[in-house]
Amino acid sequence: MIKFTSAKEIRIKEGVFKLFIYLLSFCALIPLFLIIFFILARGITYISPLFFILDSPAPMGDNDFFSLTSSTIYSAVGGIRNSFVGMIIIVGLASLGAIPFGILVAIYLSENKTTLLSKITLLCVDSLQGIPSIIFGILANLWVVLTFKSYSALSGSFALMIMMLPIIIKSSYETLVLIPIALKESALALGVPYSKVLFKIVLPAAGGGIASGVLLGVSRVLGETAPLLFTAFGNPYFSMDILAPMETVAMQIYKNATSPNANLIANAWGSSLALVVIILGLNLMVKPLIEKIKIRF
Amino acid sequence: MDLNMSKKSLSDKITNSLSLSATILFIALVVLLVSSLLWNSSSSIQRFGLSFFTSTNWNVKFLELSRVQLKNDSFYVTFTVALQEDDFNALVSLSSDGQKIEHSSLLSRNSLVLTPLNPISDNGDYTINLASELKDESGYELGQDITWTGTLKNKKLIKPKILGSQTGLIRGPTQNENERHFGILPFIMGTVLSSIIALFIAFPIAMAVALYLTEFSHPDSKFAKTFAILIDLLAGIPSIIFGLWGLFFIVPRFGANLGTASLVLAIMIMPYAASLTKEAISLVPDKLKQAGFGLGASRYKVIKTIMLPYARSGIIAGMLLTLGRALGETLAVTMVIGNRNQIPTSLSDPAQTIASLIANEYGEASGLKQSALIEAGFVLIVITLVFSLLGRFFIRYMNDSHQKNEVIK
Repeated sequence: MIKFTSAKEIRIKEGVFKLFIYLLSFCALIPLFLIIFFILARGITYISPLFFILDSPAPMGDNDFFSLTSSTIYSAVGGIRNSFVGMIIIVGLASLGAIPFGILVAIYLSENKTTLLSKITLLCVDSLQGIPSIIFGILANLWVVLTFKSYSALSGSFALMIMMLPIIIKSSYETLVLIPIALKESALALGVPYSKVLFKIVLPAAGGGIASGVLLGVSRVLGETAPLLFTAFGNPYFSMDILAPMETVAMQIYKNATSPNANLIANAWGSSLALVVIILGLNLMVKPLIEKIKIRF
Repeated sequence: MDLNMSKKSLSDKITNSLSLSATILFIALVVLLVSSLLWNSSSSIQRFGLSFFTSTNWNVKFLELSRVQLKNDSFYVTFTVALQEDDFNALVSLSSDGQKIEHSSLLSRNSLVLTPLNPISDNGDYTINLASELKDESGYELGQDITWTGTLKNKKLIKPKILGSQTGLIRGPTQNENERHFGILPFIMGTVLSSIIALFIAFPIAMAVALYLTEFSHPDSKFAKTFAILIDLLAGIPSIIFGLWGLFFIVPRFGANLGTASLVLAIMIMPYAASLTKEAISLVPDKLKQAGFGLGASRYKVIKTIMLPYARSGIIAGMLLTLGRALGETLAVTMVIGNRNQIPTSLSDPAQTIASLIANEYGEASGLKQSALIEAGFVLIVITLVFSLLGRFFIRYMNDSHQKNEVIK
């Protein structure tokens, strides 16, 4: 019972399949182009040097907004100074906590691969990575906001820190595991103390991988809004106090986009263009640098 | 291999203990996270039990006796919520000076009108008993027997008292809007439905992208490289931007509903699904493929009969992990799903997910509502973790079998 298929039929099937794959792959790019086009078209008119030194604007009536001249529109749309500085402070504090912590855990994991503790830790890392980000917001709200009795940038940093931890641990661990054992052995054979081997040989060799993990974590939390809603809370004014509410760019976009005021929505478009440029720029600029310091074995 | 054979110096000890304590601290953090969520949701767990998962009512007033009035020779017993229409007659009794009075009762909106068959005397003590089984229109029970007592003097009501017989305390109706009935069935449905529909939209596209990048293009060709970079770019765009775009581009065309949310979610998870599928497909050994081509199979045949079956567990793992990510998406979904507390019956129905519920309501919540929201968050964690841990298990399984095959060769 052999069933023969003609070559023509096969060729047609092959062609249809190929066309199908090409079309669907092309479909994947349509939303990207639409989003980029939309953000550029709506946001570019408001982007000027002023956009980075003005704060989030006060709400304004639609009629007032649409009767503005092109010279006064910039101050009506405002800028992202408060949220940009807030973002740097909140994400900076979070990485300050998460990077050393995560690397220490990764060192433990890579040095003790078979212990029960490291197996449990890996399970914890996997689970923590699967937890939705809004849960970390609840957690930081319960632990930090209720302790200090005020919304604060610190609590936002705490939430982002827990979010970054599993990403940093995982990527650092995966790099550290790949480091050839001969490298360590030769250093130890020369009589170098173990801690020096770690800090002078293993960590520098793994530097590139760890750095790309950190970059991954940072760019992941830069656009994060959900865990900050009831921790950092948001603040339309410029503030550097880490125990007071603070805004990030992503939060400013969320708040302004869902407001009914035309000037706030315009601000949201400008801010989202700025945020996309910041994140993509970070990826494009830092990735080649990391590739350069990466040591290949 | 144990490399710690050399005699340990102080700095070695410090390094070791630091990394050990960091690890223990990390595990403690995760354990504390779970226990703190459970602890804070305990009052909601105790109050609602299983009805939290099966009830469709979110933020519904407790059934409570709000007041009793005497008008036109009848007692007007007003409740906070409308009663169920079945047999409330058996559950309500009126007595005077310890003797039961026959009465006719009538339900008008959320008040019961009790009219004694004999006219009310000018003076005397009256008591109204409400049994704990009295149900409101959503099926919630009163919870405890309630006794109301009042004295009549010249047909005027004086010294009215409400007694909950179990506690003996005066129970007034709660005005606090955080003390209500909470059930999350509509949100569970909204979360699961939006994610699954998104997965069904995104996965064929992700599969095509993965197949294109691995099979249909030369890895060094400029076009394929640009394509891969563009897909990475899509993955790098923060979720809030997708929400903003959805709000101003898709919502004006299709409205804020389940379908829109699924579409936006699908766009967001597609790059992630594509990279996972690509990883699974690239693990297929070249020898198998070449053997297939050597037998004269077309590319379609090779993909269908050799590659996909081989990469099956990896692809399933990718689907599960992608689903896990879609379930937890918050703000992009909040902006486009319409945020209505109902079980969606079609794609054009507004719905609500657990994550967007928390995002919308947690900020102003306290007391029982906060507890209920935390329990909802815990449910969300459980749903997500089931999918993502299952996915990781599949990936580990796939890698193990892959390594075994390598060894056999």
